[in-house]
Formats: sequence, C-alpha cells, structure tokens
Amino acid sequence: MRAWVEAKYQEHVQELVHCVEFRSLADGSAERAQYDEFIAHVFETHQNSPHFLGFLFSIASPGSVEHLQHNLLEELGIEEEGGESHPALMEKLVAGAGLEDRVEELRSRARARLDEQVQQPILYGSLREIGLSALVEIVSFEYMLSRVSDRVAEFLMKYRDISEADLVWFTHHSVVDIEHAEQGLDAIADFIEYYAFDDEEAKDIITSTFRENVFIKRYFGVAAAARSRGMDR
Amino acid sequence: MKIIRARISPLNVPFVEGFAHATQERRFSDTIVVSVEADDGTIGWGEGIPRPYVTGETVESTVQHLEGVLWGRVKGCSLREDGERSLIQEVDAILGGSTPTDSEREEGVIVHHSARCAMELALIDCALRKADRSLGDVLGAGHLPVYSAVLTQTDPESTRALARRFSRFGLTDYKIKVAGPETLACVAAAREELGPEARLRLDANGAWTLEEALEFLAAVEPHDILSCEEPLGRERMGDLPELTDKSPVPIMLDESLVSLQDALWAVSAGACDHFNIRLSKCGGIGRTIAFMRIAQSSGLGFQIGSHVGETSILSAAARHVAYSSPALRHLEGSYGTLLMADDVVSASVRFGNGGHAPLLKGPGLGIEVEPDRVEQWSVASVALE
Repeated sequence: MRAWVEAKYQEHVQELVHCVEFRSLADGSAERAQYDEFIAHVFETHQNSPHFLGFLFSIASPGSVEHLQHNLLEELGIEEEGGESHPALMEKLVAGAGLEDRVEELRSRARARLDEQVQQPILYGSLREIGLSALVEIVSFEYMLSRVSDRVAEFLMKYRDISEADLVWFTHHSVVDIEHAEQGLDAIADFIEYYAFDDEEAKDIITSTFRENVFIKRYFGVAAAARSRGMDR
Repeated sequence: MKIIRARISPLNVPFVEGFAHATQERRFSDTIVVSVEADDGTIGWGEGIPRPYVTGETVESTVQHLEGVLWGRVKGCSLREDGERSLIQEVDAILGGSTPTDSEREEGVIVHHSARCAMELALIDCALRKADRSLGDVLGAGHLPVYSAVLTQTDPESTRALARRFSRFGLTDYKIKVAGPETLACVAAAREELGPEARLRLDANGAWTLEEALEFLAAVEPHDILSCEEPLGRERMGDLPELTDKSPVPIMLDESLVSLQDALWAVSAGACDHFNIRLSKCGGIGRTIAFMRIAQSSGLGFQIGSHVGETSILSAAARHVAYSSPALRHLEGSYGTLLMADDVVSASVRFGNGGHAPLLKGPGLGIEVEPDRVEQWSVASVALE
C-alpha cells in the first residue's frame, strides 16, 4: 500500500511540474502578477496547516502519534528554541515579495476555505475514513514539497527577486520534508493497519481524495487544475 | 418591489471527471445563471440548463429568449413582498407561455423552459429574500428523501469500482446510465457490488427501439430494477404505451416529458408508470408542481431529477420542491463539487453521508451566491436594464 500511495504522489507531482502554469514560472516566462498570485495561493493553502495537523494528531494511530506531534509542534514553531511557526514563515515570504498589504485578505481567504470545509456535509460515515483522506492529502504536500520546493525557491529568487532569507519556508521544506514525507508514508501505512482498512477500502478513499490534482488546484486555482486534465473543453 | 435590472450569465464550469450517457459526454457544464435586481437593491438568483436533446434549447437560444422575450415581461413588474405562496402563481402569470415561434420550432426548440426556469427562480428568490422567508417554508418542506448516485461507466469493472466508491458514502439509491453494449453486465456488476438492499434504476436516454427496449428490460428484470427512464426517446413516443404495457420494468419518462401537454398525453395514453420531473426541463417551480399534481392525481410515481452540471442555485430550488412532497419516490442532484470543480455559492448544498442533506432555511432559495464566482465562470454576460 505504501508503494501504491507513493506512486500516486509521484504521478501528481509530475502533473504539477509539467502543467503550463508551473512551467512558465520555472522558465521565467510568467508575468510578475502570476508569481504574485502563486505566492498568494501558497500562503492561502498552508495557512491552515496547523489546524489540519491538530486534527490528524487527535485521531493518530498510536504508532504515528510521535511523528504527528513533532510535525504539529514544528508547524507551530515550538519544537525547537527560537523556532518560527510556519504561518509566520509564510508571512515572511509574502512580505519579502512586497505583498504585505495582502496578508489580511489572504488570511481571510484561508479562513473562508477552512470554514467551507468545516461546514460542508461529510460524505464519509466515520472519522476513521475522513482521517485517512485528510492524512493522505496532508502527507502529499510534504511529499511534493520535498521534491519541488528547491526548484520553487530557485525560480522565485531568480525571476521574482525574493531573497534567500525570505524563502526559508521553501528551503526548509526541501530539507525537512524529505524525512517528513518518508515518515508520512509510514504514518499512512500505520493508520491503515491500525484502523483495519482492507486494501480495497483504503484505495477507494485515496482514489476519491485524488480525483483532482490537489497541488495544481491549490497553487494555481480550480481552472488550472481543470485545464491540466482537459476538463475545460 | 419592482424589478429594474437583470443579468444573464452563461457559465462554463469544468467537471472534476467526465460524465457520459447514451447521447452525450460532458467535461464541463454549460448552464445559465440569471440575477434580477429590485428597486430596493434586493437581488435574486436563478438558473436554467438548456439542453438541445431535452427541450431543444441551446445556450444561444436561451439567452435570446431571456433577453428578447422574458425581460420584456419582467422589466418593471411588481412582486408581492409578503412571501405568500400565491407569489408562485403571480410569477407564473408574469412570465406567460413558453411556446417557441415557428422559426424557433424549425431550429428544434420544443419549449423555452430552461429560460423560463432561470427567470422564475430569480424572481421568486428576490421576492422571498425581501420577505425574509425561505422557499421551503412557503412550500411546506419537511419530508427528507435521500439523494441518488449516478453510475456512468461503460464496462463492468469500472462500474463496480464506481459503485463501491459511492457506497462508501453510505448511498442507497443508484441510477445506472445505459451506455454501450456492456450495459447489462454493468447492471449485474452494480447489483453484485451493492447488494440486494440497494435501490437501482436505469436511464437509457432514448437509446433503444421498442424491440430493443423489451429485450433489454426482460433480460435485466432479475436484477430488481425499480424503473427504466426514457427507454425510447421523444421521436418514438408513440411506442411508449405498448412498451409500458409489456415491460417487466416500470417505465419513467424524461426527455419525452417536457411540457404539460406531454404529461397529459402520457397519462391518457398509458405511456409510463413514473415521471422524471426536473425544474429546468419543466419550466420552473410552478410548473414542476403542476407536473407533480398530474402524476399524483393519475396514480403515477415521480421523482425530482437533476440536470448534469447544475450549480447549487438549481440544486437548492429542487431541494425545496422535493422536500415538500411526501409522495416523491427518488431525488437526484446536489452533487456539488463531487461533479463540478467549483460552485457559485459560499456554502455548498452538496449532499452528505447516506445521500442526506438538510433543509435550507435561509431566505429565498437559502443559498448565498458569490457574484465573483459567477463572473469567474461566465463566458459572456448580458446586462439588462
């Protein structure tokens, strides 16, 4: 199952790096406004991470409690002395891009997204299923960032003139998330085993979670995700 | 309150996954959202989904009818502000008939119902928002049926996989689209996967001749199918009485049932056992209620169906109507972002586990439309004053 999930992650990461929007950022052909919108989307996507990690921690299987606790504390910036919370690092990124006047708007967009997710009727019948779906999505971002964030930091530095110091959220993820992604894949396997999913059930839930490319959807918007699958024509 | 402005917004909203049936494959929705504004600033929202293979309407013909005919009837009209049920009859009278002109008929338009539905919903939503009253309250909604899933796969294994995925959402009602030569095996796979408790229906979207329908329905009978929707298509309506008489599976009309004349004919000719009533196809809430009354008074069953690619505007209106009728057999729609990549409201009306969904208690249709999202997916909007 671990290998199956990883293969799905790889497939989605490839889709992300090959989508038109990502390529134009990476090769410098994008307009400045497109870089800004990308940064805004990254901020909006990851502002809610502590909330989601808190939820996952509350339902973690015993074998993954330590890993999720570590992730949550790190996200909140209290795992190590002098640490900064990840939402604060995201604010540094936005400020470094000269977009500090948009912080309130982006925070409110992120909050609206969280509200929408909380209020939407739940399709699954138990927290066990919702938890698996949430876990595979959260880990997918760690997996993707561990493979892509170096490249992102590079193009933001090169084509958007953002300093290395302000890109620490990306450079941090390129190092830390390699380990996190591996531990995350272990946590998924552990969750599946502990809550007694059979393979078919787990695969169905994971397949439903990844019906769309969540990376493209979150970083470039719904229209870009639809375009990447040819759903716009 | 007087209606002083309107906006017609044809939308293209992409789907998350493609959706296929016997006559169409869709990858995005083309729907039409209408907003009306009253002189006190109150705004109401409506939606209609033109489908050439249903009412003969296209997006273009619908926009033309809204702009050239319906706006002329609606502009400056006064709506009652007390939120009484007679509002629905008043709006019906303002909108008038939906018969196409001779030239429109030559172009294939059967009836202008999706245009009518979009404008009717917007007017009712506007007046009920002003009255601070929900449509469900006006209609007496209180009966809570469950929503159905739709299975559209063309081979048994993918049908089984999709059925299994839906069953993980606790759904109990399923409609299987007839699509291709393996449909019988798909039905068998769905039944096997979902077990004997699942309530299965078929939808042929007019794929068969009388002989083909009789042969297929005899073969599928052992799988305990509650009904088969639109087996023959509008052009073979004349064969429906014989099919209904001989079929071991009850017959439900859909594309052959777009006008009240169709409904009255079907009853008098014994052309079906059930109606599939859809708001956009049938011309809005007032006429949907008329279809429901015909079905009930004739001893026929009926369901409230949906239009593939409807936003939460149409889904919300259909929910209010469906929840007001204890005689309803099945309910479709409210797929929200299960099908569409985005919606135009701040809180989705998508159903939850088991196909259950709450009554919408807010004023009007009970939804909050986000104009920016309408604008985002709009392909060309028309402002009317």
